[in-house]
Amino acid sequence: MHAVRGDWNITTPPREGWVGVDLPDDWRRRWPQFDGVVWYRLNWNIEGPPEDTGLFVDYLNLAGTISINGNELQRDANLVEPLSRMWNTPRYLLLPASMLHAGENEVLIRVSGFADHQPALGNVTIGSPAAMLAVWKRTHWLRVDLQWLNLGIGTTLGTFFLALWLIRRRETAFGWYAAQQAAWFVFSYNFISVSAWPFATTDAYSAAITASYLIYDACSAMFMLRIMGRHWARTETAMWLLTALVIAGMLLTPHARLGEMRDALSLFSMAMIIVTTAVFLHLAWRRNGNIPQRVLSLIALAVLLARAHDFLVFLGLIASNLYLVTYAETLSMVGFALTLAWTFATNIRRIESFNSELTSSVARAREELATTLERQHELELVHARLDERLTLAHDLHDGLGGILIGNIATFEEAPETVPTRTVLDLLRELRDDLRLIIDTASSQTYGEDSLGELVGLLRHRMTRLFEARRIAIRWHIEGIDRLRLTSTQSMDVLRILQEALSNALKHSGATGVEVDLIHAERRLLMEVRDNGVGLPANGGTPGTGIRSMRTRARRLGAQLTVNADGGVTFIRLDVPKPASPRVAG
Amino acid sequence: MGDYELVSLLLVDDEPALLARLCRILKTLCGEDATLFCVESIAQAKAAATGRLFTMALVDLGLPDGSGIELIQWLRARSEMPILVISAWSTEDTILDALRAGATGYLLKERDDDEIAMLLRTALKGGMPIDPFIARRILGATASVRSAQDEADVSSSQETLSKREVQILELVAQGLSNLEIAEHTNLSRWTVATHVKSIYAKFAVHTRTAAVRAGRGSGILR
Repeated sequence: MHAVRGDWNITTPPREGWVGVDLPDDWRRRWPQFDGVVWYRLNWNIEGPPEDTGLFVDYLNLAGTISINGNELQRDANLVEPLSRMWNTPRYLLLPASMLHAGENEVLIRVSGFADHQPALGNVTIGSPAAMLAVWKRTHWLRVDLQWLNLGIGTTLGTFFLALWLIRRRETAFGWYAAQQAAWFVFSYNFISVSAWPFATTDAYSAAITASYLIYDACSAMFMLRIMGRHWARTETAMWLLTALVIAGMLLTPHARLGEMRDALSLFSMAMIIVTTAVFLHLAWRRNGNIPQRVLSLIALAVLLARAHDFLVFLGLIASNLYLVTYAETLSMVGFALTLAWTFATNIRRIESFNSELTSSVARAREELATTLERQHELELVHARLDERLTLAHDLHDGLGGILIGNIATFEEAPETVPTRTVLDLLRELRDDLRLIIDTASSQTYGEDSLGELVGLLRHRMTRLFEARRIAIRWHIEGIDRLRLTSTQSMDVLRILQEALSNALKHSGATGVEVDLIHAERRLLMEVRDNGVGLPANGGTPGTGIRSMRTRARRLGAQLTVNADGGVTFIRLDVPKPASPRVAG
Repeated sequence: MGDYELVSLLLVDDEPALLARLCRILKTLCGEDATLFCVESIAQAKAAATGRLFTMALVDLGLPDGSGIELIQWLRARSEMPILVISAWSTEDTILDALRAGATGYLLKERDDDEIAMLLRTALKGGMPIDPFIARRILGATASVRSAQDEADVSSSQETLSKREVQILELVAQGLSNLEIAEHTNLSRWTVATHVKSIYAKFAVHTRTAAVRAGRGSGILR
């Protein structure tokens, strides 16, 4: 195998200057800093009549042509800038028997390349077509087809997690994963692209690929931090600043120093990934990481080892054109998908158990609430009943009790024989009181507790009595429909009204009676007027009726005026600020 | 007085003092010629009422051999005569039960003689005394019936009160007497009284129909 240099546009190899080389050959070892074309010539002898032969070229970097015995069999699209990028494309060529001849044959390979972009020719093998094709197929599958697969998986996962992050912004780890995959897409595209598109020069293309690689590293670090639930604001800012600085520096580097710069960048990238992985392992294993985090950290370690291998390949320390990182990356994607699925399943299980827990605790709470409400309701019922009894007891005490005590006192002071009429009056008074208590209590059972509602029964009964005696009675009732008094107050008002009406009915001999019951401007005014002879004179002292009216008026805090001086008799009750225990309405 | 000719009355009460008092009041009202059948139990009352027509019946609720309600139903099934319930301090519920069974009024033992006399006079004239509390309960009961009918879109003139009747009931509930109601509505007293009678009938019909329905539901009637 021999090689010779030529310039970019040369179409035939120069006659002079051939040197012997071994494949794979990186011409920089011989001709450092040489950008241009190198011809490689391979001669071999064929014994006997020639047969169809297979030619396998592992790689040529970056673009070129292949000829056999002066017949050009293959020519890449761009042999000058922007060069076609055939560095990762294995080639298989069928050398037809017609092109071969007995004795010496020559394969001529023209390679265009740049010193800064590893200009090289890989192994060239000649053998039976079937054997060569098999080698090509295997190599192509490994280096090209698998890259497509890797790119497809990466794109799919990236898109999926991008969508996930867009919908659920809190999951920043997913967002960084998507960013990482985007950078990875650009980088991986390098393995399958065969042209410098969309860039005009190989340098620009290469710069873009390198930048994507650096950004990928930074995104990986971010992803790692987020998956571990860490936010190291200052470290992150520093890292991004550093990455930006490095990229800017790369872009500013002159062409002549690009190779060194890229070597430096590889070192930088390597350092980044080593630090990232180390931190990841530390956080996952020393700081109570969960199982998915630990699995992911191990995957990161595998990727690191693959990258270390690739780094050595890149530096030429391992003689190979097989870069492992993409396979490790595919593995890591699958691993990542598995851990996420695991996390997802765990979460679902937790939600399911949470749901059943929630259901049972809701049921329990509901039961407790029902019991509490029931107990409360019972208590309220008991209270209501107690209240009712208390009110009733109070009414009995104030009404019947008062009259009883008053009359017992009267009888004690009275002469030995009390007239039947007095006793009867007393009993009737007690009876009327009891009737009022009963009516009030039963009205309240139906929620009729305004004075307007309570006065109805009394009014009805008294009106009928007056009508039966052909005494005209007129009622003026205003504003008591919504006046609510305590039951004792109601009783007192009604009792005074009843007493006043009884007086007018029985003793006055009147022919006309007027009743006012008016609630206005926060006072209740009651007046009973008749045109009769006035109240019965009881030897100067007021009768029991008047006396009990006064007692009740005093209890109400009201003023009772009795005018019995002939002409118009009236009994007036003026209750200021009648209490309203409940808000009216 | 002799205002009422050929008066024959049925008094059912097991309390001699009260019976004597009622007899005295009734004699004053109807004259000494009035026929008073005073009995002390349901069995005696049924025996007296069999084959005999009365102008009016007065029935106490607590009788030695059962509830007066049952007797009222029995009597009502045979006659359209006024039936008054005699009640002592009784709660509204008992009185309403009696009205549903077919009584046309009630009198309270505790009332003074002249009040009881007034009531009996009205009843003998065919009038139906109606109290504010009864008016309120009827209003309450028919209001729920009305809303139920509105929902079912069934209108039965037999059971629903007319607007005028509702108006009268509302005035009664406020405590107005028939006379006052007549003035208030520009109707005659007698028209008001007729309305009141109709209200009673509807109340009783409604409750009777409900009873029949309940009976069908429980399988007693076919």
